[in-house]
Amino acid sequence: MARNGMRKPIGRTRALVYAVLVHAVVIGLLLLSFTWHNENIALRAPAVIQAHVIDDTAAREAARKLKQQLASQQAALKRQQEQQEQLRQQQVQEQQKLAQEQQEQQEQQKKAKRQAERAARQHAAKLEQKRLAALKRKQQQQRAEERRKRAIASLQKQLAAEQQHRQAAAAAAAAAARAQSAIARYKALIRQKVEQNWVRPPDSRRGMQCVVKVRLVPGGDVLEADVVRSSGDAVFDRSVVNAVYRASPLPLPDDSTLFPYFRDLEFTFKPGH
Amino acid sequence: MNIVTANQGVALISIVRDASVLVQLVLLLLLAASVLSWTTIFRKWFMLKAASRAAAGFETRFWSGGNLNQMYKDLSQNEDGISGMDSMFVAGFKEFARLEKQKNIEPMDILEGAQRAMRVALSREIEYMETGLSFLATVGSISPYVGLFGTVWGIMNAFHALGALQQVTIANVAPGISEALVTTAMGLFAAIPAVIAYNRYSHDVERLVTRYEVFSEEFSSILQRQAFLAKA
Repeated sequence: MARNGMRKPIGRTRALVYAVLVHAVVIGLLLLSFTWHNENIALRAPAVIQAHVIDDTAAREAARKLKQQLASQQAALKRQQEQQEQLRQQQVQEQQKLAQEQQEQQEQQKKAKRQAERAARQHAAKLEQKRLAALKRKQQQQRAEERRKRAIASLQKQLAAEQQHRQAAAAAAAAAARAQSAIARYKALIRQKVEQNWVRPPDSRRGMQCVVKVRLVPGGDVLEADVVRSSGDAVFDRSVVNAVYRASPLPLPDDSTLFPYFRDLEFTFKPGH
Repeated sequence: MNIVTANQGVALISIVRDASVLVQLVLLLLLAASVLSWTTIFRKWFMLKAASRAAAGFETRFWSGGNLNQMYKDLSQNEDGISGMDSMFVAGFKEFARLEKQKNIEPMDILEGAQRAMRVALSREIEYMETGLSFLATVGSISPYVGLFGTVWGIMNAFHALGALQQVTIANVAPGISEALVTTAMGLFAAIPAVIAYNRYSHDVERLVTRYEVFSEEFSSILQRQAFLAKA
């Protein structure tokens, strides 16, 4: 019975491959996205500051002269710019006058044009309205037609679905009925077998009955039998329970799908005479 | 100890490359532990999933009616490959059938023999299901310490290198400590999944064992009835 060594390990290599994959993905993500930008650290790294003392009076003198030259050049440039500016303004004024004259002419032309256009537009609009009305009528007719067709189709579909449903329900009902009849048949058989194994207690009266609950295992063996509703006579009850145990294994249908109906079976024991 | 002054930013790989040999060893150890623990995690996952599926299949078959003798014959044909409830059923039924044939034996003795056989099969199943769990527990509890060891070593080195500098700024210390902390991160990375998986799987194993025990009890009561019937 030492089967443990022989048991084949489940997916050992597959597990190893998965584990390596997990790590490859994590490391790849880290390498791709994880970089520290620490330029600041580089800048802040201490550096030796070198200082030289330099005599700079000559340099300052030179710089002052340079500045003066620069100032005089800038003044000359400014004067030139101002002259140019005046010229430009004169030109602009002349252009504006010309533009005004042209505009007046254009406006007169436009007025004439607009009147002609308005007349033409009114005519066109009337025609368009007529056309639109005709189109609208047509569309409405088409739509009504479509709606009718759709309603018919959906009705037909509903009918078909209902029929199918009814057929399925009928089939299910038939199966259930068959199962029910089998269950009833086997319950009767079980009752019969229990009764055959029943030893009538000497002082039992006629018409006594009790309800027994039986727990069955597949194969029909009785696991447990209990009286649910007593007949009022303890001896009778005990005799019935004994009969159930003695009748084991009880007859069960061959169809194992029906077994759930028999696992916890309750029936009334009513001896015929 | 070198202070990193690259302008492009530092890739993680350069930290690992520039670390001291001991820190590298610690990182390698933790990586190996992590790979092994993930392997165990996946393996246990497949194993427990297969076991619970097999248990469900067996239960439906067992309770759906059908002859127990036939079932025993079917199952015991491939005795090497069976596991879980199948093996408990086969062990119990085999012992029961063997004892039942003997004369002069009490029904309770038959039943006890069958129960003992099932108990043995059950403990073998438990042992099989718990393989690898202790490894996960070890990785989960030890990895952070190993990582911490690497970190402490790295910080020791960083401070030692500081002694040689005259003027110390945060910029001298920070990169070294940051490097040293990589091993702690690695230790936690290995430990967290291992601890989660350990808790999850020990719970799963417990539930499966309970299921097996319930089955064993139910099957015992069936055998008891049969034993008394046979000897009555």
